[in-house]
Amino acid sequence: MSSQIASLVARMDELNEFDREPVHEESLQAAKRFAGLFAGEHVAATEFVIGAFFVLHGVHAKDLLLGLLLGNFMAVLSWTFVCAPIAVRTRLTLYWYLRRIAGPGLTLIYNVANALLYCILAGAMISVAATAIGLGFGIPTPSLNDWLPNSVPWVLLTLTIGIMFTVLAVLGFEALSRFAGVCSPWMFMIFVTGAIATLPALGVHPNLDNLWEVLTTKVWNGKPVEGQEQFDFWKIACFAWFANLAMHIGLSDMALFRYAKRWSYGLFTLTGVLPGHYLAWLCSGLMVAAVDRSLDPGRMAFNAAGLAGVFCVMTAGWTTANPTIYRAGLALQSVTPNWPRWKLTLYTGLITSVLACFPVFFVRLLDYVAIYGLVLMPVGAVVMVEHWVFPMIGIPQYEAETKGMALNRKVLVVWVGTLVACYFLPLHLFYLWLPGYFIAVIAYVLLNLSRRTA
Amino acid sequence: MILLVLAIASLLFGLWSSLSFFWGSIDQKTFFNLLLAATLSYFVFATAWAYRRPK
Repeated sequence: MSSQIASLVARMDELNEFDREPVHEESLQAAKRFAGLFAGEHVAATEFVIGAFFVLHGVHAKDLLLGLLLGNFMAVLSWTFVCAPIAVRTRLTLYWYLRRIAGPGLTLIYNVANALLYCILAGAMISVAATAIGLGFGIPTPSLNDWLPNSVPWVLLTLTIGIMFTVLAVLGFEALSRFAGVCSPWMFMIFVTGAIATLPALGVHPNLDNLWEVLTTKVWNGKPVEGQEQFDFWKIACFAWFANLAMHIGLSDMALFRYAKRWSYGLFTLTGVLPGHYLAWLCSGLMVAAVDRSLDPGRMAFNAAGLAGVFCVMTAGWTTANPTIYRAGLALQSVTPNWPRWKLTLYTGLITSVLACFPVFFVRLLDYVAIYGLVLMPVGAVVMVEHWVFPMIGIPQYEAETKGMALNRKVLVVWVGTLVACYFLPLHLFYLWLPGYFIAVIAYVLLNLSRRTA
Repeated sequence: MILLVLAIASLLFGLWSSLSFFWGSIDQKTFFNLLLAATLSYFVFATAWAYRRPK
């Protein structure tokens, strides 16, 4: 058993070999590169669903505008003050830094968990794209209460789209990723044009004199649709903050920021969250209000922007699912018996396609986003403590590395223990991660106090 | 450089078409067609720009 784990770990290290060394001075990237990188990163298929859900959850217009502002501001600060400084000081990916702290065995577990979460996310993207293509074939989109596949045509459609996306990912990920970069500005334009074009249907006058009245009575009017709980200012703010929790607090974006000259480059994430997690969410809210608050991204986009809108939903689904399938494959590569890249992408894509048949991941996307961030958050807390707190209180860093441990049990206990504690906390799912983060921080410090030397 | 300018102009054209529809200057069908045309021209110019050969 131990030799099997050693073999898996060796393979995993081999896959990440090119990232092993800290980034060299000459490879550091200029500020404008970061601004451009983030600008194209946060306009995805999920924006069609998330912004629409805020309308369905009966949020008030003022709560939404201010809540998103606060939440996105906190997210940018999290990238700037939590993720970027650790990345700039270590110049390593989370993978290699976590390996020193938690040991290769736990890094392996983290990779597999990450891959499964990626597969579900990509499945949701495929479902969103299916709503657009299904429109042309008259295949109804699952309702908000459908968790399981509700019709044979829906299953056939999602499987077909999933297989198409998978084949494209197998044929050439690099070229497709480059093309996805071309799509980003256009997708944002479709969001904005679609929103503007729905204003007449909502009754907004050309001189905009009744805009606020329409927004507060017909769009974000504080009345949730049947079966949906009402969201207030704090739920919106928390959601906007944790929408990318795995990336900032969870430290996944160390992979990007290790190339930054200064930690302050974290502020450039504003170029991504402002259009993607503010304007695009508002735009999709307007679009869903114009189709009688029915969560059907394909219909929303067609109603607002015609065929270009339908094309946008499909493209957004594909450009987001494609790298997600690829990343999931990369994360799983370490636990597969020397499979070639294409074979692994193929199997990952097929798993994702099957998951896409289940509407639960698409109609409960907000909950899934919360769970995704929550599951990976304790690992970010452990790394933060190890990096900043241990040197301050005299606890030696990198126990797993110095003692040659395959798996740092303390990290595993903190990870699992934090999730168990969060499960029992009497709080809304959206609020769990913040106390959970402090639980993880305190627990990891307490478990290591006995090693204090000073 | 000209390809990039044309790609950006296509996006602005798409945006203008939605504003024209909002102000009532064009009907919905014309707006949809103009937006589709803007989309096609954007992809032609932006793809050509992104995949251009370095000099």
